[in-house]
Amino acid sequence: MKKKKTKNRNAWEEARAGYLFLIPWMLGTLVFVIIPIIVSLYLSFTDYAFTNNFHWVGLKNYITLITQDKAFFKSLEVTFKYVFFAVPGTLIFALLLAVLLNKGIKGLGVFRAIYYLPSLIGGSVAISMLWRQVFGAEGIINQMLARFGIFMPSWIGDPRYSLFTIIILHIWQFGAPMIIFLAGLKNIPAELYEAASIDGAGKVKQFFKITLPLLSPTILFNFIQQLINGFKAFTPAYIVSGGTGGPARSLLFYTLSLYKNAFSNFQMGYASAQAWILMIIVGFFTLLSFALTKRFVFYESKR
Amino acid sequence: MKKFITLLLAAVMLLSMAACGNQAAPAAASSSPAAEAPAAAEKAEGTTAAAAFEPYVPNDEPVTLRFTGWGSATRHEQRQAWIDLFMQEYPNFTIEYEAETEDSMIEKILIQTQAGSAPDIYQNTSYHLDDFWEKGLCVDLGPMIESGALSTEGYEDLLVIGQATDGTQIQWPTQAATVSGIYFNQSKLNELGVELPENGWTWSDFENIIRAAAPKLEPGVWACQDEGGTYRFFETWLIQRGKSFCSPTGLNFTKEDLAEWLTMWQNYREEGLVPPADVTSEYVGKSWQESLTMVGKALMFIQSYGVLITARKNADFEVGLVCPPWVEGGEKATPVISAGYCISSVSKHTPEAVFFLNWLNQHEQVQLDHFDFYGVCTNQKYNDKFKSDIESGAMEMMDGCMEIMAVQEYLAPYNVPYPPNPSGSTNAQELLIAANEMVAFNQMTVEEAVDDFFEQASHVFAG
Repeated sequence: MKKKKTKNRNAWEEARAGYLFLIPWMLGTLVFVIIPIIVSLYLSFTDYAFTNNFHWVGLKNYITLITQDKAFFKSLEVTFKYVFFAVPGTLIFALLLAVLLNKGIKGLGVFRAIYYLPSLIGGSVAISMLWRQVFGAEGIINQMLARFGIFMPSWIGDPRYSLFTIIILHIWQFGAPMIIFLAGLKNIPAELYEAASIDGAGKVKQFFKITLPLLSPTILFNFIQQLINGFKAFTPAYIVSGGTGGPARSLLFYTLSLYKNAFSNFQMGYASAQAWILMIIVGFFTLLSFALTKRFVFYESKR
Repeated sequence: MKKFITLLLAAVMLLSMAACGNQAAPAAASSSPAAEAPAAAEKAEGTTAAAAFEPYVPNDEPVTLRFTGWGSATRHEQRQAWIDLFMQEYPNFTIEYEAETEDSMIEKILIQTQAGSAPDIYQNTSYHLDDFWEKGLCVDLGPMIESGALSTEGYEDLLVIGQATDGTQIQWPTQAATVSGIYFNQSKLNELGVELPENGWTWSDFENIIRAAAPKLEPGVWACQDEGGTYRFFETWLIQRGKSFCSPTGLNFTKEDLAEWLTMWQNYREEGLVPPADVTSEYVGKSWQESLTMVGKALMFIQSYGVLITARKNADFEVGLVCPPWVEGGEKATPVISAGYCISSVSKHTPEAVFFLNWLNQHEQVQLDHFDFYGVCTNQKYNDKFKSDIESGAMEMMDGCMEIMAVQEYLAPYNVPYPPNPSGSTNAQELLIAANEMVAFNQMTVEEAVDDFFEQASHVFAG
């Protein structure tokens, strides 16, 4: 009995030390994440506009957004298009490169580092500005195409192509999911491929029957990550469009529209409602992804 | 332990909810900086408190002020030099300068004021007068003027009134009194043998010049930039028609006005007088130094007339300047605008800040720097002095100064105060860019773009 008490006390002391170490993180999360989230929820039901003279307006902001604000729907359309093309594009590209890099080639570390580099700097202001130059009317892309007799307008200045250039920018940042895929591929036992090879399975069959099923948890993880990042995309659209969401609102991303409402039009309560709608959208698609992928994701531990 | 953490989280949540829901409580009851901001705003809006303003009397007490403004590196360096000069004269002052960009500064001031940490003095534009006053971000400078702490010596009424809204002096004009001018590539027009625009020209003259120039230009160069989305040009055009972009409560023009304006620029695009939509949109958001005209791809654009000296220094061609074209049969009126300095509503050193601001307004070196940079300064007393010095040969004239003075003198009888810019007007200005782009890219007809503009604007102003 005494031994058990001592054991419990030791366990509690150990746990207490753990909690003590966690306090800074918990405080940070509370102050910088949880409280702002709660405050923004409250503000979404007010007409807060950077003054303390604000009022409770109930669901007015949400109703106005959904029933009257054309820019809101345009921003949803642009963002959905972006997510629809950028997320699968990034995942496919990252997976293909990870599979190639997993072939045991020489200098793997160097390749990995080089391919990862765009992910480190990809979402930055500098790269977005560089993108303006690359895809501009006289940018590198058009100069190259002109050598083959193809003359294109400005990719970022034409609403038919501007979103496409931002999607390319997202896909270009395939480094982070690639590294995760690479780690997942390393965990697939080599003997499975050997056995499949002996049984006469070709490379393509091995990829679809072994690689993809065993990599499915990693794919799901990367998919959710990319999905959330896709909905949150802001910097490239802001820089490339000069903060306007143009040309012709083709780059009016959801977050850019939110930012403009909050900081250009000073409608902070309205923008908070917009932020919560985004939260609901992202939450819905994340849950949907989990629900839909339940049947396709293979966890080795559940075998 | 789990229970404890759950209780802690719940308590914090309740506390934060309670804190948010407490806006009805008097601001003075809280000691947080966020609560001090509205309290200060009340002070700013209250005439009684403001009327009791006591000017700063120089003494040895140490004072630290924070001062922020936007602009090019040259302008930041200039301000730092003035601060150094001021601190030499008043060694008890320490002035910390914070260099900013225009866009980021407006956001920062909003947030810093809420946090009670805004700089004592900050730059602002006429576009944000109403916004800044409504949100209690600055104090009324009227009582400071009345008390003599802020001297109006050398300042024209029109310029001072332009920095006020509804009788409240929100900011004090700095830098340069400026109106819009049309900049043109004089070298190219001369080379093409096209008549140069002159002060007093009309829209018909404008069209004749660009129509004469366009066929002679090489591919990839246009007679004028597409200014259909340029708020400044649209505003000038509206004012000459007896209207303006905004009234104190919203828009101050009709759908027919906008339709006429957008159609005019659509016609120019179709005629090839201005660049196609994709070329123009690539330059949206860029500074005037990087505009199509300045990089040699167009021959004309609109900008404040005070940047000619800088334009001449930067361009590899001769830059000409002329007043905007008049609308035939319209009202000859041109709005005067100037950036200004506000005193923060959360400043704890308002008298000291006013003292420094007044020093800036009345110091010859400060005004001379403005004159050298813009060809004109805000203090007319010094404008007259510098002009006289130039005429007598005591002072060297900057390249472009003569043209600026010519435009200034020509437009002086037609100057009017800048029209109001209610909260949301800057967003409405951006809607004009979108409307012009929608038409230019054939995404909407002119009628659809106009309807869309008015619908979006009603939402902006309703906020």
